[in-house]
Amino acid sequence: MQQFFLKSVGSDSLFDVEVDPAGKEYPNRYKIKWGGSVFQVEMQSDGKGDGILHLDGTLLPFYVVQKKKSFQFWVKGKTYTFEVVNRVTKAETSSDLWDNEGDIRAPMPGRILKIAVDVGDLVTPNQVLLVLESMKMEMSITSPEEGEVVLIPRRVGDLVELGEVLIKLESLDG
Amino acid sequence: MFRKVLIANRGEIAIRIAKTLQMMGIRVVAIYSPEDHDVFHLRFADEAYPLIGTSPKETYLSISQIIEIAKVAHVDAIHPGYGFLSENPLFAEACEQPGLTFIGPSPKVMRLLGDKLMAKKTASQLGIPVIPGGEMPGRLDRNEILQLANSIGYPVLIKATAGGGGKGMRLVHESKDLLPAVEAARREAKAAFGDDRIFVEKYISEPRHIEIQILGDHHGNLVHLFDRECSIQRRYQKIVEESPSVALTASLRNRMGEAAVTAAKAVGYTNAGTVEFILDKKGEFYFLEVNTRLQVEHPVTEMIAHRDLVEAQILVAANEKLPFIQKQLRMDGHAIECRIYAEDTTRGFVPCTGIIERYIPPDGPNIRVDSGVAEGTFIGVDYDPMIAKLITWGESRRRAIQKMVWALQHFVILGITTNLDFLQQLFNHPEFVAGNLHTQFIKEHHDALTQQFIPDEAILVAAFTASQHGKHESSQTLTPTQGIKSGGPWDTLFGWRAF
Repeated sequence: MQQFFLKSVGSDSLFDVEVDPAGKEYPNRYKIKWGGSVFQVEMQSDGKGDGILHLDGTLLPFYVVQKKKSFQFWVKGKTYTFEVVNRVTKAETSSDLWDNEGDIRAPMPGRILKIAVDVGDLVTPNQVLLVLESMKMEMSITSPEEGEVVLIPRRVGDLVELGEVLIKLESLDG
Repeated sequence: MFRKVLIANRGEIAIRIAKTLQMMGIRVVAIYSPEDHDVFHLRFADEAYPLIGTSPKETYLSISQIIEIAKVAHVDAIHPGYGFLSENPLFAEACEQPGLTFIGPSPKVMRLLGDKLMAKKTASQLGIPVIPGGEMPGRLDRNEILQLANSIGYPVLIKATAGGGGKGMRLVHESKDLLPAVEAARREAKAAFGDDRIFVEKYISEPRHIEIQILGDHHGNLVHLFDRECSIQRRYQKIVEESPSVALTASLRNRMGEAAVTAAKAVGYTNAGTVEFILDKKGEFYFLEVNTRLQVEHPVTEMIAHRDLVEAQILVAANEKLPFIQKQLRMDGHAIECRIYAEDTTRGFVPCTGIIERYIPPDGPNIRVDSGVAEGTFIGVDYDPMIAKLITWGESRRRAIQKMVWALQHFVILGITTNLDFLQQLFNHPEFVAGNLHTQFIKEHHDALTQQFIPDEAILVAAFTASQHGKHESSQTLTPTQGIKSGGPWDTLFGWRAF
């Protein structure tokens, strides 16, 4: 029997899941449990990740791609991304991605079009810090709080990735 | 007829145009940027020439390079597609030389209609209604803009004089937000069109966006191919288009079609174009602008009129007569298109980048997929994040929607985040099904459309996949997770525990 904490990326729901193979006689059958639910299912796998889930007499094909830290799959017309987390990270992963105090992160991948502040500047809530551009769409990144700009790791014209730190702020009330 | 045509574009539209050219027995010349990670369109070309440069500006927007390639390759005509140089009169002008033809309207007409204010004035002079308060001089300073907006009354819409597509467009509710919006709109307009002129007009609340497809030849025949409704938009960009619009009665459709033909005839319009209107809640329509190119959403018109618009464009450009007159055109059934984007609909529709690792488009009767990607395609930040257009046709709107829902449910795209799930929720929304559309539809129903629900089958597949992970890869890639402290979601390790 295997046990996992599965986290749905995006909705941030956590599932404490048990997977129990039915044994050698029924190689494709599994008992899968979480919360109060128990399912006995058949998984017809192609061995590379894709397969067909037999659930209560219904066939549900699925396709899976593995990513660095998560996996994304398609089943019954919808796409999901999950990652396997452990007990230690359970509490932490529920905190939001953008909550790392003082870090202003890129909400989309793109190019830095304009930086409106300098290191040492005192900024006010909703002040525009920089402008990102992606596929001809502009997005102004504003300050969530009052603070001092302590670091601007990138320059105008740089390509940044989703979630990359754009500006570090030091809170004034801290 | 042309023997060889250069397509000055990339992606799905380059492929769509190439198909018709080849069906007509015309040789296809493609161009590509060496930095472009998605040159799937080359697979549909007979010849291909590289552009020099890195950014789109240096490559797909380089008039001199494209004209040079046209000469070297001895092409007879250039099709600009949409976007890039398609509405640039300088490009159309550069094509005006012996042995070369621009597939589109004349540069003179493009210049007149490309200036949104001039176009409005022209329409107004012809007795076609225009949006109140929109008549503003081109270049204004900040104080004048403030005064202007005050005199029109909020909310106002800021628009780029040189182009559409939502680039440089901002909705402003209060005067305190006006100047930052003006500044951003100017920058965006400059980047998108190389022209930072903007104008302000009265914002009509919850309008419908209705447009009329027109086609004209050089022999005095100019027709309209009915209407399209494109009210479902996000970030001022259309994502769902359909034909015919449920909002038009036969008489309103005729009046709008006649207004479009009148305006087009008055300026001597030739080739394909689209006259855009706003329809308010009372059923009054206002002229918005003319797009002097083939539209992204042209397939819905092709589906209900059973005509190939690109073929008509090529015939007309080659100085042949349009193969049909107005009374031969009939509307048949209902067609809907939706645009599949690489974007995160749960976080403000921000574009997403990545590699398409799995791509299985749907197929079936009256289902059309126009796409420019394949498995392995990299979606980067330099180009539009549209992956594909999905179009369905049915005898009725209801049947077209049912087919669309089925097709969306059978469209597999993995590796990147897309709006596929969002679109399913949209087409299942009772207000959409009822046809109660307006341009703020997505904003108004945002919560219902982006609701996330994780059904049992998703958890079952996730659990099974996690349990199989160790069987397909070496055990070294698996990290025992006990006791490891993670610094946050970015550092979360793919781990498992066995009991």
